[in-house]
Amino acid sequence: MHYIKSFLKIAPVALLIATVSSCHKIQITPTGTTPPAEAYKTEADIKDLINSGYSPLAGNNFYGGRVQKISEYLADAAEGAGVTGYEGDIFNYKTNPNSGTQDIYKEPYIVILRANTTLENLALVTSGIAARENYEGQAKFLRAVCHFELVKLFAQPYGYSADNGHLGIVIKTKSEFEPGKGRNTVKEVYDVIIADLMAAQELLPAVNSIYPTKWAAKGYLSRVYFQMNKFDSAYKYADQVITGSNATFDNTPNFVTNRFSNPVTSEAVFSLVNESDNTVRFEPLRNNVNPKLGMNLPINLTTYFTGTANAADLRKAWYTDSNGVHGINKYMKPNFILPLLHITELKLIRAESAASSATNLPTAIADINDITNRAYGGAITPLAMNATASQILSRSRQERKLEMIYETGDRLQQIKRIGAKGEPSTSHGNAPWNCNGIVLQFPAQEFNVNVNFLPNPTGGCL
Amino acid sequence: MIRLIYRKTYTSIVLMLLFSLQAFSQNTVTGKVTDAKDGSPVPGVTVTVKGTTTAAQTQSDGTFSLVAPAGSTLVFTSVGFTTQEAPVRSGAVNISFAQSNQQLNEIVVVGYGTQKRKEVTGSITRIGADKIANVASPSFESALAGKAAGVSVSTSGGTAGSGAVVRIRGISSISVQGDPLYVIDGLPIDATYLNGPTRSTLGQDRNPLANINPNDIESVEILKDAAAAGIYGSRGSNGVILITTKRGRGRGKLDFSTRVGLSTYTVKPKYVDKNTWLAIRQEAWENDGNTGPQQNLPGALGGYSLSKALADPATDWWDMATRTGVSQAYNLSYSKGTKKFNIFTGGSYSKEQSYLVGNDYNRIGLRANVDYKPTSKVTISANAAYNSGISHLINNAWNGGLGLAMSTALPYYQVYDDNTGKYFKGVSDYNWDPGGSFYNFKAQSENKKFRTAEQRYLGGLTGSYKVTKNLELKGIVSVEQNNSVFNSFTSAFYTNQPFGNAEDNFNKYTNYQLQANAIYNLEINDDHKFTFLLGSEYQEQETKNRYVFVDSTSSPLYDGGKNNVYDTKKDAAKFVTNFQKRFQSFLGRVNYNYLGKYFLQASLRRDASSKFRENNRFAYFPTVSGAWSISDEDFMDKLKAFNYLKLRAGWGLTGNDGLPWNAGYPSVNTGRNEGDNYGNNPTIYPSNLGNPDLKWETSSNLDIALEFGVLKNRISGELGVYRKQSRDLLLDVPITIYNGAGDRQWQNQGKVLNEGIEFTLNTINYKSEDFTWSSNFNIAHNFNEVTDIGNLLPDAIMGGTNETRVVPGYSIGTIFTVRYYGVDPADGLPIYLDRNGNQTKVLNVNPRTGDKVPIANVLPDFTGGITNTFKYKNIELNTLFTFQGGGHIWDNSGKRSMGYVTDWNIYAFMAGNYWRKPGDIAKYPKPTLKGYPGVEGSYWDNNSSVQIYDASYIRLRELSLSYIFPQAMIGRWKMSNAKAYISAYNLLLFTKYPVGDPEGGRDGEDDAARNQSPNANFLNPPLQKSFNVGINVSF
Repeated sequence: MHYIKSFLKIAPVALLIATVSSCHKIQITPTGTTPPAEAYKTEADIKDLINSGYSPLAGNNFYGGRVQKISEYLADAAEGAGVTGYEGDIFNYKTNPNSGTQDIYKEPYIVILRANTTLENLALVTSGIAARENYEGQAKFLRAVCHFELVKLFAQPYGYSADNGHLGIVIKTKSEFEPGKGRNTVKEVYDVIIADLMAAQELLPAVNSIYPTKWAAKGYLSRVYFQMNKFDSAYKYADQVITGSNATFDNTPNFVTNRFSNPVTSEAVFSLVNESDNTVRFEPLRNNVNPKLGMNLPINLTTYFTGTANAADLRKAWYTDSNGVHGINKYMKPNFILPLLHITELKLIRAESAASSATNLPTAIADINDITNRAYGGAITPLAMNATASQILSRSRQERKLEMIYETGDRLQQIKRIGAKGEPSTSHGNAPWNCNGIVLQFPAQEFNVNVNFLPNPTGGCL
Repeated sequence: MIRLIYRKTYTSIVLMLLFSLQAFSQNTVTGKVTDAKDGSPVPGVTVTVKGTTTAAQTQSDGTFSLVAPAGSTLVFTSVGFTTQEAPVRSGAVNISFAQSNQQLNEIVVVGYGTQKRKEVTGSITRIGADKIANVASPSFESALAGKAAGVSVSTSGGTAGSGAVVRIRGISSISVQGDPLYVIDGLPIDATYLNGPTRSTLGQDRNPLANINPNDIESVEILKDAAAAGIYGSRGSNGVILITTKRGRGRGKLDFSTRVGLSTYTVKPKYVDKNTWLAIRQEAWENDGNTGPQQNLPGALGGYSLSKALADPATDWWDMATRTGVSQAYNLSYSKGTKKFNIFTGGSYSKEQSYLVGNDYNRIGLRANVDYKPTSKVTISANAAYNSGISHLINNAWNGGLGLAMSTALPYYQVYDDNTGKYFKGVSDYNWDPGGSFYNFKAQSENKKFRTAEQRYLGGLTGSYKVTKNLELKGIVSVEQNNSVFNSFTSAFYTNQPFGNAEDNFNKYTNYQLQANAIYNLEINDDHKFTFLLGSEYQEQETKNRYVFVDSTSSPLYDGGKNNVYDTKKDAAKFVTNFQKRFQSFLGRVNYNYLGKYFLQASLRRDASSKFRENNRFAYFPTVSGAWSISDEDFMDKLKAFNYLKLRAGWGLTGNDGLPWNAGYPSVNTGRNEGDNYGNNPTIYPSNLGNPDLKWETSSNLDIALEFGVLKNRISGELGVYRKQSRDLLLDVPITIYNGAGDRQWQNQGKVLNEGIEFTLNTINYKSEDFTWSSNFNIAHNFNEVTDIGNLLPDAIMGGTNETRVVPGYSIGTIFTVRYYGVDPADGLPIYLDRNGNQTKVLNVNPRTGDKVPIANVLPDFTGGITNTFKYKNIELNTLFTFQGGGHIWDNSGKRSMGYVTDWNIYAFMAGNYWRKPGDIAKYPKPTLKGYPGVEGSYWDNNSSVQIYDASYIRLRELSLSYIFPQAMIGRWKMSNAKAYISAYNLLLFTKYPVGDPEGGRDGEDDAARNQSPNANFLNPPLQKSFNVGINVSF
């Protein structure tokens, strides 16, 4: 009994102790973040959400340098003989699951998630149909651009197989976390890209501040169709942009410096901005070709000699020589706006599409002559008005190499496209356009956690 | 005022009267307590008249005086000493007090209290102050190495202030930290304040314990099993280390100690010299099908000149990056205890230079611990400590530190460029990194500066009130504040820009805790004794970070440690909360002691952590344990040899909540931070996939042990076995990238089993009046197995960038790689074994279809230590050997040093054993520059079992010789104690590992790497070997 009394004495004390802490709440919502259910409430949120898609697009791991660098190492202009490490893997066509391809693979999907999230919250856009269509168009445009870059780097090109049933990449059209998906076919991927761009060209306005316009969507459509060797459509959309948009061919001798400058070139159909106080935007692009910092993406001798062979060619200014190591200095300005698509490229697409389908040859001839006259100032003979389709084609491809050097990874895709078209086509080291190793291997993580995800076959290039 | 004095005087007079009245009927007993070990006086011993509350404390000279009835018994107690009794008799009562952890009645600190060793039902190892204070390491935990069975302590490397990876009874966590919980005077401290990118700085793991002053520590208790650690519930899974700081006692005593030391490296890895390197590369050049002199030598655009490389003298980069480090430490403390006040106060300064040029760790520590007893029922204790640690760091091992000398600093490179006269820069191999990596150690060390500065304040206030004789209430408020700033500076020369750049990464950490508990002792007719503990606790932690990067500066953002360089960017930068945690607990424990020989303990703790969502926030952690003191049974009287025999067993649940704070919270970044802007417009975006269903990682622990002492404790020891099953492991799981939602998600997945046996033996091998030789031997075997990992492939959970993985059926950190078979004598190419054991020349590392298999264990089969103490009169010689056997080392850097000739140095042992011509039987393949045809990827992928080594070693970890000056000599200087010693650490090493020091690993990458790759090597600086001289004196 005595002990029970003692226990009773303790009981109130125990209660007192219990209250010491029970008044505290232990819930903590991490600061700076918001649960998804509370994050998207207003139209302003959607405006900021879609805007967030452009930062990674312009980032170092995407168009800010990585796409270009990887593409050039796989193509035939870069000098990679001394390159080691992960870049050596790329140059030697032997990327493996641990070859550092994760960043270039991940970044487009980040943009896609942001685009998909935008599309799922469009109901919040209440200021009017135009605004709503603008955000929808931007989201679809971004989603298409990202799927397009991924399928070009991580899969064999369109036309590699007759039905394009070969493996492409995973298509993501909703924000939901979907583990365990397998890769879609290349045909499926291109279908989605085209559907998105088709929608975007309808939805987007003709003028849209720093964001994509309907002309940007049409320009990308042209590029996509060209990549598919679908020349009628490629021609059609290139023509619409050249004739319909505000972008104009820069016919001044300054085009070599204007192309990557601030203010933006008059030719830009879609570009990524460089804010005036942002000193690190596109830094890798600047550094890749900056001999002062150690040439990070040197070009080979052939490319150098070809590019500088004609003394009159204004584009010679893009080539540098640093103690026998050569590079391309297109991106030298401390601040420049990066056009992802410009009139020169669309003219080249229009010309080659015309020549390839042997229609509209006068337009094609004019396009090519615009480009050569601008570059050489008459120092080479322009194409004759009766030039043949094959003459146009040949000149067009030659000029494309010179104009597009080190831009948007274009050269690699031309090697693949021409091969897929059925012409002989090889990259450096005589690697066939369709060898296994010219396609990047997916990062290991995709296989480690997902049995449905199949890797790319390897080897076979050298 | 006058009234007060009057009252005080009045009280004193009454007290004196009472006291003297008592004195008439009693005797004043005097005596002296000396240390049985060395005869030195022991101050601060509580001397109690048995069965009364009459007590006194011994003074600094060990003497005491108190009033006791004739025929009564005196009880002598002190933490760390065996409680002794002596009858009151005429004349002085002199006691030789045994200070030994072999002893049974030693008082040990347990969670939320103290217990007598005999009554303890769990596994607790106690390490006293004398084992900690003099260790020549800024961080106390390295002093635990080899001293307790099942406690593995491996120092991370030779960097000053570097931590140790402490693992108690194996490792049961994979992605979350496997470190024990450290509790200083009741306040849990952890590495949380180093959360985020600063935990691992420059490849060196920063040590949260480095700024704790070892001289402040009274004792360290290691709680190994659930019975002991279970009271810490959700944080006890990896064991608990309790640190108790010193408190004042005895007559005023001033202690001063100082130490100076020199340090160097334990092992120097051997690499080939300049000409051999060039000759091997020439062979590689020819093996690749080239003819003529080799070209494209690394080091310059378009290739370094071969003739210059041959003609120039070789540069000894190792020599340039190392030195004899000088260290010094000073410590001054004062301790005094009176009836109402106990005070301990101390200050220390130490400067530890490592053998790495440019690397040091400086610490200043101040502490005051005060106890005030206004009445016999009330005690108020206050602790306050300030520690400041400033460390100058060197760049990543593989990018500027000593690692350069082991990798990219080739012997033909020159310090200065012939043409410019400035530092030779070399050419970057890392093309992603446009700044270019200099391979010139000298250029690096002068143009890149790194510093961390930490200031830690620890404070605690405890109030205890004895409500009745048996009931005590305690309230404790503890506060920790830690300011930690990491600075780096890169000069314009290095950046190759008009300016250099600097960063300033500031972490502000606060940790506070409120605790209330009640202890109630209940005794029922002498046979049944109960102790009840009931408590509650609330803890809150927060880290705020401010990061500034200035890209146009010519000086660092700090100055002389004051951090007072102002910069507009720095001033404008804001602190952002990057960690917050709230933690609430209720706990209860009952101890039952029946007849002084049967002991039972049960505890239950309920924890709630803000890291988990509402659905899984609370969890209960029960324990039950018991002990049977067999030697107290009557039937043991016949077995006289056994003076002590105790069997104990326990079971309990413990947990781990070491998640990032936001792991459970799917979230959208709506901060609209300026840095994320595009086109000067703000952005919001999905940022964390999160997992709202996360719950605790729990371990079920079973522990059985037998403690024994024979021949009057000449031989004593403990044999224990345990089994720990952990489930719902908190795993940082990679997720499919195409979702765009990040790389990883935290999930509860997997199970791990740890089973082991531990044996400790303490012996007094020889004892005479002048000479004693005693030994401590401990050894532990731990079996570790991952029993389940869900449906993840082995490559999913990586141990940093090493080939260490988590594979079901194998131990954590199993090396998972392709088996290297040897070299084809016909063509010199490497031969591997495919997954079926067939020979192949293709190194297929594909996670799905490849040939990687689990082949070696990084965890040792056994670890242990042997301490021998030889004492002759006043001279003591102490040796500690530590050892481990059976584990393996993954040499991650070896892939570039054993055949695949890149721009790295080449191991000397490779040079004599590689294929040169058809027919050669060699271990290493023919040298090549372009790689082996079957190796997919670059040299980074050139991993195989050829990089695995046996990690067994024995090392003489500590050797010390000390001399205690006799009283007669030092008494004239009013000293009560004086000791001089010389000591050496890591003096000898016996190992077959050819690359460096087998201890110490590249653990800094993240928690997973610390768990899975405790001894993976990637250009690690070897451990430090040091020699020290010191004196300790007391006045």
